[in-house]
Amino acid sequence: MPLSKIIGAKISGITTVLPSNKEDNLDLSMLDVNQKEELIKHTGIRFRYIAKDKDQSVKVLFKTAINKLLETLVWDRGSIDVLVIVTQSAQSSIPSLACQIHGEMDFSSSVLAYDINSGCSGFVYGLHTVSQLLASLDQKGKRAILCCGDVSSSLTEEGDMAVKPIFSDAVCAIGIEGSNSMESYFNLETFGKGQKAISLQKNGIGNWMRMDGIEVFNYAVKYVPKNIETLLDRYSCERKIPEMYVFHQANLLINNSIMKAIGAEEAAVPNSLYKYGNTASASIPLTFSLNWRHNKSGWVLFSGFGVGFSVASALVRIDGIKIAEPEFISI
Amino acid sequence: MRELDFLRFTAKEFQVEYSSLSFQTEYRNLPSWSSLNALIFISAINDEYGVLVSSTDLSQSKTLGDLFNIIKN
Repeated sequence: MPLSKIIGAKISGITTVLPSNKEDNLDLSMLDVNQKEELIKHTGIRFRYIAKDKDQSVKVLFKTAINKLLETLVWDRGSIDVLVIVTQSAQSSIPSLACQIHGEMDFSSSVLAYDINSGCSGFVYGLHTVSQLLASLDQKGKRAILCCGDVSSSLTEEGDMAVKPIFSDAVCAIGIEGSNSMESYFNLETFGKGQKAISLQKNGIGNWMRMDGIEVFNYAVKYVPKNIETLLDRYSCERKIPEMYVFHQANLLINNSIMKAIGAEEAAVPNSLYKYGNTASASIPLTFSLNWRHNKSGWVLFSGFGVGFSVASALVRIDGIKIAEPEFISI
Repeated sequence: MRELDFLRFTAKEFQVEYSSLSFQTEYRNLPSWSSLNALIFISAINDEYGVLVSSTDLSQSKTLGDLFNIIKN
């Protein structure tokens, strides 16, 4: 897709919800001590949050995050126009998780609600979609809730050491509202020949997410820096220089390679890998919300990449955002 | 890229004696070879030589000589 510019939407708030069950990569029984230390050193990942009860857990996490968002922003449920859920781990995809949540949380019938099947680039894809939808609505006081995240552990085979030590369960709810003067810029790309880098594969006992770490590394290092540079070359100027670069939290090897390739200062590139692992489409809003000061204004570069293979970056102005501390629930 | 430099680079990455490696060494038999170390090695090759070695390339090669030719070409 060509570069795109959207006028008329801004991010107003972010909430994050995780399962309270915390796992430590130092406790992995299938690796010896040296392997575990190497793993943590090079992936950057030590702790992960894993839902014990996989059944319906992603929906419970999303509903908790939505309730907290409405409370944080003091938004009435009846004021919501759009509900978009980005996930790949709904226990039942028919009807869409957005419709299930819409019904169970008593949203109004005037709410547009649907799912986007996307993983690690999903936050930026969702932000683009929701911003477009809000910009198209012919009314004042437009509001949307974008939910991103997965219970990736429901797709993880216990003995798969390419997947299990990396992925962590988490969701975010992002409040987005109409704002006439607010501009955001996007560069969304798809490299479908890389579809096997991360995919769902069947064996005798289930469907499991498989990841070819080398292919993910290669696609990310080859295409993400170019994607970001194309966006910034076109739209970044003296008044629009990113203060922060928030990448999808894949692993430290990939993220450091991207950071070096675009020449970003380490201090401007936060990561949440050690404490939270790779939280799929929740990783960008989670990492941003842990590092952005409440109510601070400025430009931020978001870049998501992964399953697809897809790459999506956004240059966004943040102004007057409300961020809640991550909440942990027993699930 | 010189052949001996590549063997020195590989010895350092896998923390083995340089003299224990040759172009006939089957790198999957190195003591610390694992899927994680394969990824670390591919990342180091990219840093050192600016070349991305694909999973397919890796699966079709056996020896350090094979790998050297992939990088060189």
